[in-house]
Amino acid sequence: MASMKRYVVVRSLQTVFTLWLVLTALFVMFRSMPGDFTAQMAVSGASQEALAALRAQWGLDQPLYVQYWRYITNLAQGNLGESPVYRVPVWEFVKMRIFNTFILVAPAMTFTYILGAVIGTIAGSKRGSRLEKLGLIPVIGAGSFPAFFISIVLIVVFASWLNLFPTSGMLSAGGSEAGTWWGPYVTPDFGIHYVLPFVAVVCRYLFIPSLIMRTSVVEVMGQDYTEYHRLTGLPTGKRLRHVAKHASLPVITIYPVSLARALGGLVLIETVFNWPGIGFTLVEAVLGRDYPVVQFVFFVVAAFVIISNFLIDLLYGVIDPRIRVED
Amino acid sequence: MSGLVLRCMSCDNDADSGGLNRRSVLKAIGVAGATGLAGCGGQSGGGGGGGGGDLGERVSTLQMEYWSDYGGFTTTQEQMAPIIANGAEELGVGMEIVPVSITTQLSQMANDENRDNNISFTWWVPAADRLDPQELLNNMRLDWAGANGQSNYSNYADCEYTRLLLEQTTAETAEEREQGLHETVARLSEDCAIGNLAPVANIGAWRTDMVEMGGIGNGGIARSNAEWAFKSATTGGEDLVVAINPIATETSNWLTHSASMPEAMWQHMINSPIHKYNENFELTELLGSVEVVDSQEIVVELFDDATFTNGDPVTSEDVKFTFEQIQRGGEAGAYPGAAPVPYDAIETPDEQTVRFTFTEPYIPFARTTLMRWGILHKASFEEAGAIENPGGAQFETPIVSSGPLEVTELERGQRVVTQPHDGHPTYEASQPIIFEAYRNEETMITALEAGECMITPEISPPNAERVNNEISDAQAEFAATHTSYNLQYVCHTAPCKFPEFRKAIDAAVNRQQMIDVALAGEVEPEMYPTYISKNHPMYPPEDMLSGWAESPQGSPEVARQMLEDEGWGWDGNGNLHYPPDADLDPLWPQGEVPSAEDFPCIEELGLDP
Repeated sequence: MASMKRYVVVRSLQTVFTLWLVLTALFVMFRSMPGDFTAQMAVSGASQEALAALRAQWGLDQPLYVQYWRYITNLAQGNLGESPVYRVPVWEFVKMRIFNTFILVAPAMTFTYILGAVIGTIAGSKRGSRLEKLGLIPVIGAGSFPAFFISIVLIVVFASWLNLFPTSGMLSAGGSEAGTWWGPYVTPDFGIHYVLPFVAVVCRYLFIPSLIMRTSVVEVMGQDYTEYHRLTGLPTGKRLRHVAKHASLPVITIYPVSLARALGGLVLIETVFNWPGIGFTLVEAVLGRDYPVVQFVFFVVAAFVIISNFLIDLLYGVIDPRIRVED
Repeated sequence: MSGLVLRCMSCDNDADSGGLNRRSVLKAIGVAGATGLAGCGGQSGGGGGGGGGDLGERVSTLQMEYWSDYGGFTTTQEQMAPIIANGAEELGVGMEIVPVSITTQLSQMANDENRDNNISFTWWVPAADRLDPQELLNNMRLDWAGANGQSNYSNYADCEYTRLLLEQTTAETAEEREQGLHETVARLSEDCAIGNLAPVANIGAWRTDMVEMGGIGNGGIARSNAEWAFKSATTGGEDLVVAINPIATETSNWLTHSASMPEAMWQHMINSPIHKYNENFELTELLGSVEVVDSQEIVVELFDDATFTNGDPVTSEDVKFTFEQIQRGGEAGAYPGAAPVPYDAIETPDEQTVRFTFTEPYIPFARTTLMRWGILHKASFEEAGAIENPGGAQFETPIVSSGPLEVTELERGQRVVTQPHDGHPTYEASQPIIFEAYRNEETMITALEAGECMITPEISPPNAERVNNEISDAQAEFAATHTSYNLQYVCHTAPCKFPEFRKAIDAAVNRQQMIDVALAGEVEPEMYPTYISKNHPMYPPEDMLSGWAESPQGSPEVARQMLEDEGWGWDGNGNLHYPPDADLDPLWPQGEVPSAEDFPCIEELGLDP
């Protein structure tokens, strides 16, 4: 128990240190990019004085270490700054976008991993069979195509040809008149807009948990206790459940990483479906040198990966009692 | 590059032995072949192809940059760029086409950080206020050249041009100014400081079964031409759904927008300026009449029936507030691209009269500043806290505005919903308009095809062709605008520092092919290097201009002759070489600005680069 406590403390400190490293790296990287948000304003003839005043206002004329110190101290006080491009507080600007991406990504990826685990378990348990070979082909095929291609195919088939779903967007006009901020997300209108992007995410990422799970299942099924279960006449379903539990660790490990990647990497799906998430906003922010927005969003993604890895490490002991912290 | 002298390595020995060593001869031939491929042609004969005499240094492969992050415009440029490269190759110089983000390129060029780039392939948004070319022409002034962060991306440093530009800015009368403008543009063409290729085309599409379109005219279906929004009507009486850039939906305090096109929706559709050009570039009074008393005084008389969407009259205080707010620039969260105006005072002698006076002659005011900015409702801005805290301003819907549309809903990143405002003195919208945000042109066209969107402004030529050829009940239309696709030569470094080189490139490129490929042949080529297109209302008479391109298809022979006349030449491999006495040094060291020593007019004109 004492070992566990110490482990948690040490890992927590490591996590904080890693987060600080990430924050610093992001800050330096983005400040090193050529240009700043005033460059585009110069196109329309903004005077040098005006641009200089803007840069001074945003502290861009200060040495890098001064800018960094200001950023870190503000962040520590919960001040994320303001988008110089939109003149809106960063949190106000990104919060609903992050939520819109999360509400698409989280359920879709969770469903993907559950479904992938099931597919992988069945495929692994039927290794060498036609079911395994043919069953994985569509999964791998869908994962091989670029995300935007899958999205376009879904739109063309189900929206344009069959007219079953809208082509794009998250809500129809007037769909957000629900009184509360979460109201629109529980309407049929949202539901019907949700289907195609959800399916696109599932199709795109299903191959990862499926293949990992299959490999893991094959490995586990080669162990003695599974043979013992078979010899003792344990029903197939129960046997597979035991196997799946033992084989699930790699999938569980990779789940938060995939989720984090999807959070930041859904830009193509969001663009094609016109989903008002953070992906497209992030691209625009990078191109427009909107440092506060970019740094915060990248930091959120990185923090999610780091913290979820930490939590998964803690969860290992629960999932697999053989895993313990020892001195 | 010095010529190579081939020497038979084994000849002495071979001579002694009385015969040639085949292996050595083959080796020598191989070396000659390799050096020939490397382009290091010898000086024997001084090069072929019309050069004659000695050759200077070989002209290195040109680097041409274009903006890679502008959707449909980028697509058009990517189709045109190889044709431009072909034109350069006709002259014996290669061209590398380099995509770069606009922010990166502008920053590098404004600070003279990138001397690898020789030509910037650019275009300019045909915003309504560019119907006065002042802003564009300012981009070529000498005191904006060099590493000073200003927007002379060509680093063009010409005293005569700058003198003409400054003279017309402070002209006493409109006629004098117009003449001065013409002379300024004529100087650009004479020096071929910038190459015009084709007009920027405003291309828009609509569902012919759902919308009766009006107000397209010469301005096209673009946010800079607001007329179609008011003069079009849905056939079934439903709300009109128009595609828009997501940026325009990000904030209700549109003054904080940093991009000019998204703000056009707020400035000309939701709010109204005092006056503006209509779809045929005819001056139209919207909220009041404008009198240019003299070069330092302009008086606006507001119409009696000019009201905001909440019924409040548009008063002189609102007008004064608007322009004072704009003048605060970035501090107010206002778009810093607003040209600084030399106000002396903005007076409001009564509720309907506004008198603008300036500390120096400033005739451009009436056709630029006054036309660009929609009039704000002062009380709303005060109530929303937008004066002290532009970014944190909270405008309650419906948002009070001065235009024919009232914003009733703003869903950030998704849409702006508007209702017609009956009290506008000039316009009357036929139905509610929903400006739906689309992040991608393909998605927009798909929505048009599905009938979810009825009008899609500013689409690319390939999608226009798709609309016309593949989507029934839809039509796309091209409108040649007042700005152009340009070759902005980087004029302070070789080879573009030499006027004859710029003129030769201008003569060699095949404009017609570019238009046929990238713009479906729907516009006419621009034959004069004037920065603005011939559709511009202030375009000079052609007899004042200098043209270097004899034919829309390009004239490589003419171009080569231009170079040859100035001592350029070609080697045996057809590579272009500088004249032997050419000064290849840049006009000023990297990271610096033009010096008064090299450009005496800096002191004469009181410039501060």
